[in-house]
Amino acid sequence: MDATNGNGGASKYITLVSKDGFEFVVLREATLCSDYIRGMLRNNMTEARTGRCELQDINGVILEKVVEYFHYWYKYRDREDVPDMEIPVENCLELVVAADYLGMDSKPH
Amino acid sequence: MEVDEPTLSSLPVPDELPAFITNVPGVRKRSRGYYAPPPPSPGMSSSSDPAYFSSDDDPALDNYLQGRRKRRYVGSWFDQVPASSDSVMGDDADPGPSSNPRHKRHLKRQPDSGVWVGQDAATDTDGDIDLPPLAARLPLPLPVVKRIPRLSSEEQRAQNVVLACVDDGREDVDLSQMGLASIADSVLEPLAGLTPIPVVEKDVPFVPRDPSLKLFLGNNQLSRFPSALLDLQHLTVLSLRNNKLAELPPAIAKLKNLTTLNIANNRLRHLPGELIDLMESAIGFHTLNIHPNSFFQPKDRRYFLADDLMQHEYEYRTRGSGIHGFLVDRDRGENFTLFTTALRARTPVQFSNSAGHVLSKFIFPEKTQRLTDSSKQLETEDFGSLVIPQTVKQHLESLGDSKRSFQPKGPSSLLATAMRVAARSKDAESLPNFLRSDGCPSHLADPLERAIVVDKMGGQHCTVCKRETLCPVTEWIEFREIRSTTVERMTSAEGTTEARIRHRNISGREDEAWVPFLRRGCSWACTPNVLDSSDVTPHTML
Repeated sequence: MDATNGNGGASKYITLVSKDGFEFVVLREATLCSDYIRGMLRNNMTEARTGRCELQDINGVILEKVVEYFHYWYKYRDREDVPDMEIPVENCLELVVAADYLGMDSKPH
Repeated sequence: MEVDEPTLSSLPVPDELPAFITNVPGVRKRSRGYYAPPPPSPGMSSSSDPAYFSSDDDPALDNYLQGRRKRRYVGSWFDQVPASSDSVMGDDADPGPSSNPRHKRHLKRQPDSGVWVGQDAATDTDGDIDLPPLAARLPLPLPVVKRIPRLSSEEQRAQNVVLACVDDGREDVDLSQMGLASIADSVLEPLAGLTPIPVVEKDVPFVPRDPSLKLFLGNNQLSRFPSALLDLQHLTVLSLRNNKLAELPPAIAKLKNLTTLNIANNRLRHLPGELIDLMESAIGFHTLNIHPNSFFQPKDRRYFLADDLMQHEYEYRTRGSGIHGFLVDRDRGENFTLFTTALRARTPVQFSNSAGHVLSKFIFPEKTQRLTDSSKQLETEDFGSLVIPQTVKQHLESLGDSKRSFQPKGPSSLLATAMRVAARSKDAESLPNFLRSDGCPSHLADPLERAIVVDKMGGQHCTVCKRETLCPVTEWIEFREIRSTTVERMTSAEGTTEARIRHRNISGREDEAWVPFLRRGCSWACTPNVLDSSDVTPHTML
């Protein structure tokens, strides 16, 4: 977590904390596809300094899937041949809600 | 015994080897004595390893007749006395025999109950892993008892007709004027298995042929396109004249064998853009009746494309393919009809997010709203410009990608992906109601419901990048003139072939000439091509 880039000494990674206390360390750039997290990391908010975002409404199982999507998005954001991401049916409704909450809506890819 | 439940009496390590092992040389028997495990510690007492419980699987069991004295076990496992009172056996079991390991053995075979047969499952330790209890999640759907759809009396009559046709191998299925308000998939599904009676003549080899199904559903009250039709690959004639259809599904383009489509006199506001591809590419498509309908009209008819080249440019970059028609080299036989469309105008693009919230100033009239003569007039936009709402622009800039590209890349959004999975799940119909319950974001329920309908209707694809999208975020309408060209080849008396070519517009009336086709995109970058007149370079016609 000490890895810094030239960008104001901020770490390249941030930590996402789920409601039930699971922590996920994610590339900062990969979380850019979420409006909510991007907003948290901007504007000199506490989260921007500590690099630790607590997501009080999302539990670990769902956040894990969200984090998987972050990396999936990060990996394929500039590609045209994108494979589908697997989403288990039992989580899809909660993921819809979480995606809406995090502002992970259709964007210019 | 002071051991914690649910232990049984511990087993003593045999202090001497059974006599027969040493007495029978050359016969090697497995014997517990050599590797007798240490007596189970209290912590291990929940182990279900049968060696500690049951005498029945003693490896020396088959040596009863040799008079071996069985000292370690008395009775089978259920005769063992549990140490604690809340065990299955209860308190009334006699602790006597097992409390004394030296108890005289009764030579009575205890039938094994077979309880220990499933040991693999019984000994797994999944339940022992210490996990914090899962936090409360959205309430799980109650199991929905699927109602078996009951057919209305009209549908039943239709079903009888369908079944009769399938039985007789008749390809003309006439379901018109039956008062159908809806038609269940189960009614039409048998048609997929219809096999026509093949022509059997003398000296003609028997060849099974594909059916050319003709389905007449005119003069009914259908308000929804029957989704089962989309699976009828061999449908050639489809008449839905005089119904109450409000929309045609984009998946209608799957009906590649269609030659005649009659959708006159419905409540259609626009046609799916995919119908253009069907008209232009389906071999043998020759008749299209689309008027009258309550189609959208352009407010003014000013914006013309200078020539076909501009249209080709527009189509090529928006759709990934140029103008079809004659350009496609395909054997169409001697006489044929083909349809081409001439792009005339385009509305501004309606930008929204996946949840259906419209961001742009331009907005299509609500689907439930009744169209008047003025509200069905849509404004049009110059082909050289594109109005992008401020929020969308900001977004593009915040990503450092202000330059729009027409080849969108990257995965679809998580919301759209999850929505697609939800719409395809087994009991998708019950999901929107969960989002409507307390504490849930109810604004997602309607988009999800729409996605379910779209998925049921065969799905739809992004016009620009061709990816599947159940919740399009850009939508616009293209007004096109539909022209049909008939080519008749005739051989004159002198033996020369001459072709007679007739062009005509599909409707002679001016207010019906421009037909609206709906286009959609899966991301904000999936927008129609903005033509730059200085940028148009001549494309070689194929």
